[in-house]
Amino acid sequence: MPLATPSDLELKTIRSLVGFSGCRVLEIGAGDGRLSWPFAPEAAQWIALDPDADEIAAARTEQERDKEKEKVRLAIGDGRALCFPAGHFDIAFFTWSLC
Amino acid sequence: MLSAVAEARRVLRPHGIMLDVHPTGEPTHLEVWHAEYGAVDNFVEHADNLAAICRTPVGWLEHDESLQDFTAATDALAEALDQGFSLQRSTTFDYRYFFDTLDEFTEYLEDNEKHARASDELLERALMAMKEAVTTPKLVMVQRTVVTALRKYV
Repeated sequence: MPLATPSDLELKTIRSLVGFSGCRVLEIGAGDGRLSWPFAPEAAQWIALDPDADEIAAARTEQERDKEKEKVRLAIGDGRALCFPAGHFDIAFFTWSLC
Repeated sequence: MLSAVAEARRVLRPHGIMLDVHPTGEPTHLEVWHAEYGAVDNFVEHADNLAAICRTPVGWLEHDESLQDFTAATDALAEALDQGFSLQRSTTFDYRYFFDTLDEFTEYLEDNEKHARASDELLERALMAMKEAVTTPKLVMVQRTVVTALRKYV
């Protein structure tokens, strides 16, 4: 099902499991960035990956609308074949994408 | 999905975290919510404080194959425990979609028919529950969602 703006409950539940402060985060299946925007400001680095070019385009549009979201690096890519070096990230975050 | 887990493991530092959010394999269910008489009417914003909300269960939506993807994701995480990860913590929460009217809900389902469908009986029960609400009701579609944190071994 298409997802809406994350609720406080979703954000609070995720925060109860992990802290993003100062972390290098790879988000896989980021879509339009719905879970990138709330958490990325805390991270040292946030790369948001999605194989759907339209989703990444929607996320870019949102970045252009809100400059505070420019911290998130958006990229088209597939979680099954990552182009990043080994051992680079602190957190690999599958956001509704492992399914 | 196993290759995605293997790739995640490769790019994570030792003791790094693989974090996952996905719906469980439970069918989506429908509820009708309304605020207690005299309480805050725009309760969607207060949905996490459920004390002042009346929730009427209506029933389950019907799914074909879409739930299989969700159970496959759960299986992939379980198999990750044999691929150099240990379970840190897992918990669930309800992901909710809110609709002001039954028509809004049925239009949403038509646009997403490959994911779920509602029987005529379910829609009738929902309509009855909405009519019986003492304050402005909302139709709420609830999808149980699991969040899991796995830690990479050295």
